[in-house]
Amino acid sequence: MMLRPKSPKKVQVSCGACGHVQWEYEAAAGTSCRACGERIVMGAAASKKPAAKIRMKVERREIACCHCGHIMAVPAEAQSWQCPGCSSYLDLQDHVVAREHMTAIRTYGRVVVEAKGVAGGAKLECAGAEVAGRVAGHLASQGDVALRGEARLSGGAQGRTLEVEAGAKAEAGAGLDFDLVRVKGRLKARDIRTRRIEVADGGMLQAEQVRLATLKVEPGGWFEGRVETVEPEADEADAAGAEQTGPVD
Amino acid sequence: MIFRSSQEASESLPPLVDGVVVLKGDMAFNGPGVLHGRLEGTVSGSHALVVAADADVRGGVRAGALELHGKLEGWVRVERGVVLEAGSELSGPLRAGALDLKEGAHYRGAVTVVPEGA
Repeated sequence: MMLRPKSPKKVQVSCGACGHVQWEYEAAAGTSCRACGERIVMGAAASKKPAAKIRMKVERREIACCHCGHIMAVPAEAQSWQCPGCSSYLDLQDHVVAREHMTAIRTYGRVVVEAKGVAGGAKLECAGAEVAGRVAGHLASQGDVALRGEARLSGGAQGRTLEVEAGAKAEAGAGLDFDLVRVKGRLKARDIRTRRIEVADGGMLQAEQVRLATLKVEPGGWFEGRVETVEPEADEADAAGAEQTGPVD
Repeated sequence: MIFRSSQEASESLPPLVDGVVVLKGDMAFNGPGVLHGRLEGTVSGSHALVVAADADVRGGVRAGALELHGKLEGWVRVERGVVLEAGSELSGPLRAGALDLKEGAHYRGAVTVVPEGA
């Protein structure tokens, strides 16, 4: 006569999510519901109080992937992220260019180009920039750009607001495309395309060609250039067509 | 704005040229005034001038201050401020002490704004 080993004892368990009842070994600590896949905790573990979850409020900011356009909320303090849409690596760091930096910068953080700094790459893409040195390539900012000292934008720039700070003696060798240009220091530029220019008392703007919707030069401010007004609607349509949701390809 | 409102300016200031007049030649003004109608020539003075919405000037304007509502084709030389109101049209070189080009104003030309006395 053959002796069969005694089968471990089974008990009936029901799924907390869908109510499905199934047989499981009594000694099991847990299983999955065969109907809905929900985790079922069994035995001593079931009566255990779950450990208190530590919740930290993390400040987030929304960005759009420059590769696939996927919009995501990333922790404000994060240094890098992987796009859940296309798995691309996204640089979220702030960069400081203190010397010569000869490669392109593409970040969702801010970039500071110090007085002796040269951003020599073909492109500089960022969420905002402060320039006191030189940017050789095209500067594309999703936010504001501040110019101070003897800032040089050799490859042109685009962004939301361009602010030429008081005391600055800045130059832009190629086109500038901003929603608003505010001049408190000096700026010499070739082409400017904007919705509005404001030149404050003591500010000075020299430009070869300016296309804008509104212009205000306060008493005490200087302005020199050829001006052509553009219809705000047409300007907005153009801007919408050229709108970037992330660093530019 | 040179005056509190363009309506106030139109009502309180003496019209330099009335709406139905077409004037050819140069004219001078020695007090603040409003320009209506059509002028082919230059208008000059050292006071504030309002070019009304129904005005059409072809020539040039020299004034202490200028508020443009109508049409002006030619040069502008203003000591203090120029205000180009919405709907106004100006083409030609402009030199002034300050400038406020409002949204909806049309302008094409070379602009030089330098502080008074510079």
